[in-house]
Amino acid sequence: MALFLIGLNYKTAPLPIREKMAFRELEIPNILKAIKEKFPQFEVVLLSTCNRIEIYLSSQNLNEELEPIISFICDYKQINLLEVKKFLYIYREREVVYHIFSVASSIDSLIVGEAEILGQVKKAYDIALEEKTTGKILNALFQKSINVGKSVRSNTKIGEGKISTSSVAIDFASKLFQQLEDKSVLVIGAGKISEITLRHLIKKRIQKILIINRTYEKTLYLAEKFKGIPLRWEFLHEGLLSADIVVSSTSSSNCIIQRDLIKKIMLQRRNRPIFMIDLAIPRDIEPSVQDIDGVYLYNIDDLKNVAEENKNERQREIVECETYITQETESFISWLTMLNITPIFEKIDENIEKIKKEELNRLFHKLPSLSEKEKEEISYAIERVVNKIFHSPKIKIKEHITKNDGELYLKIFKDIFN
Amino acid sequence: MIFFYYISTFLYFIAISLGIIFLYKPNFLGIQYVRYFIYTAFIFLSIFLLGTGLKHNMLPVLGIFYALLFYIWSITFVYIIIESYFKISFIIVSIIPLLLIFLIISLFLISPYPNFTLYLKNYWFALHIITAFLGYAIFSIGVVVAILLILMDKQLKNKRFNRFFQLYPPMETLQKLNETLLSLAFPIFSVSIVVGLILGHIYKDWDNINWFFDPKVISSLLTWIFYAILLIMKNLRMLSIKKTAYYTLVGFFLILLTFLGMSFIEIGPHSYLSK
Repeated sequence: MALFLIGLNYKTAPLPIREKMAFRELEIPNILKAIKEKFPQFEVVLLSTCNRIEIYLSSQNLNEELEPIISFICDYKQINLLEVKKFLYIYREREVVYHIFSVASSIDSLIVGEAEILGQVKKAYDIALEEKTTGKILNALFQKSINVGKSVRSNTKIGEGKISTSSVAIDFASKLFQQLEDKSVLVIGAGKISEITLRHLIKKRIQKILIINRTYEKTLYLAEKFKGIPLRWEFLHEGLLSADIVVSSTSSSNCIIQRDLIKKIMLQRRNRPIFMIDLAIPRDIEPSVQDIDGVYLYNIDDLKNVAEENKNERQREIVECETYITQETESFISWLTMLNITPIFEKIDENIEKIKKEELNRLFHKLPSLSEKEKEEISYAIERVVNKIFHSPKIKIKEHITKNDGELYLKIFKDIFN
Repeated sequence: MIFFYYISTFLYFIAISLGIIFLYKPNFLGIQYVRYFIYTAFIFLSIFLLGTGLKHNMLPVLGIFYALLFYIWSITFVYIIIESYFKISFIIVSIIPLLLIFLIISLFLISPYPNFTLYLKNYWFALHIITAFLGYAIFSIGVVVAILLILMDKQLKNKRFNRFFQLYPPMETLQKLNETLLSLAFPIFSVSIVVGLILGHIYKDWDNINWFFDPKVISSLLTWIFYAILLIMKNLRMLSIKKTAYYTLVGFFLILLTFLGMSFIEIGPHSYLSK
């Protein structure tokens, strides 16, 4: 039984190629059915995300030709094979196992430690299971990969800590506030950074967004776009009074929010805490505001430092993950090789039995005077001799299965015993 | 009967150990195991206290050993109520140091149930004690929450985060819990003081004791006044989260002084009860 993988990802193929080759979730059952119909000897699972398109295959034949499948898929997607071929990678056996375990564990992801990929792997497997395009090997492989992915996430810190500045900021806000949905956010400034921030806030389902900028027209534009409440610049004080979270990113060359203003605001707010994010350079909010009780101020450097530290932490965890994945890969390969061995041993036993019967018949024919008891003893002796001869090679093969040279031993064994 | 105390203490120590393991390896061990052992320890402690109470036909709080156990029981009881209402798992790990300290102290104070006067076998006394201990327990858990608040505030302010940072619940959650605990503990504690004053009046002629100059009574009143002021300032939002937390710590110091400290001063009628 053999394993194959044909794929391209963010490392090997540019976005336009990935876009052309990607499959939407609704398309996957059809392509799986089509591949299974055209190539019934294969088990198939298709994994298609924004960063990778991979087809996992398994068949009985180690030397399967994969070119026809690649052509078939290119025809299906109406894309020139030559355009895509140079971006493809093809893996076999151990490489396939290591790769899917790495993918499920998110160490092969663009953002190492991301949580979505495990769900995507599971989804891909579920679809294939439903379409009955998997079999014993891919079932075992994907079930194992999901377990490996879960183990890596729970036993290492690969998924801990946010790594983008905006998600770090939201993370900190979540440590201050019980939930963000019922909080109000004041966005100061109407530039690109404010827009990006507003998009993140919308994702967090924050209901009340106040937008303020010196140029009221820009404020109106953003407020309409993101369903926020526009405020004129002169109402900055009121905005600060009511907001729980303040995100500032103006192009002002001076601080627009001073310590004295915030001190006054905090008294009027009756010590309600406020989370302030200063994304501007030069800074919009006077740094000494940080010292006021109940005010938590984060500037762009603070967020970047934490994001960087989290990224480094995840990188450090990769080594531990790789060790674990290697162990699990070897374990799976051993299982796969044992699976390959069993029919071989059965075949050999069958042949031995056949030869034994033939030779015993010939012997008993030549020696008709042998009694039943004598015939029994001779049969038993030959059986013992045969078992003793083959016992040691079988044990050796099983021992070597768990090591890298197991496949080689198996190949030699098969060749020797034809 | 003491057998149940030993089992309970043993189970508490296992829970504490599991809690410490959870802090350092949260993925290795689920927090539910800590909970199971605390619940089981609580059951055994309840059996011990109930058995003692039934044997002597009164609330088992006489002497410092039994008072401590009743206090530990009260803390666990209050924690179980809070957790089912607030669903903050991390609290159980946070109260572990508190339980550990008092359990260790109790191990050095094991003693038989002291002799007592029949005057103490009445419902007013029971009400006074139960409300006092519940009040102490709620204030104690409040102080644990206050410490968490202070730590969170420091970390968010200084942007230096320890390994437990991700385990802490949000500050707003802790703040609401702290406020709830203060608001709950104060009336309960007030009932204890009022009932205590009633008892003092009823038994003013008992053995020529002047209850109103008892150090514990004075200390309790001071503690009550402190918490009354704290609650007023909190409700008027005159204090930040951090300041409320720090004052809660001060209040706990007064609680410890009242509950434990005054028991070791050998003057006044409460000292008789603590031996």
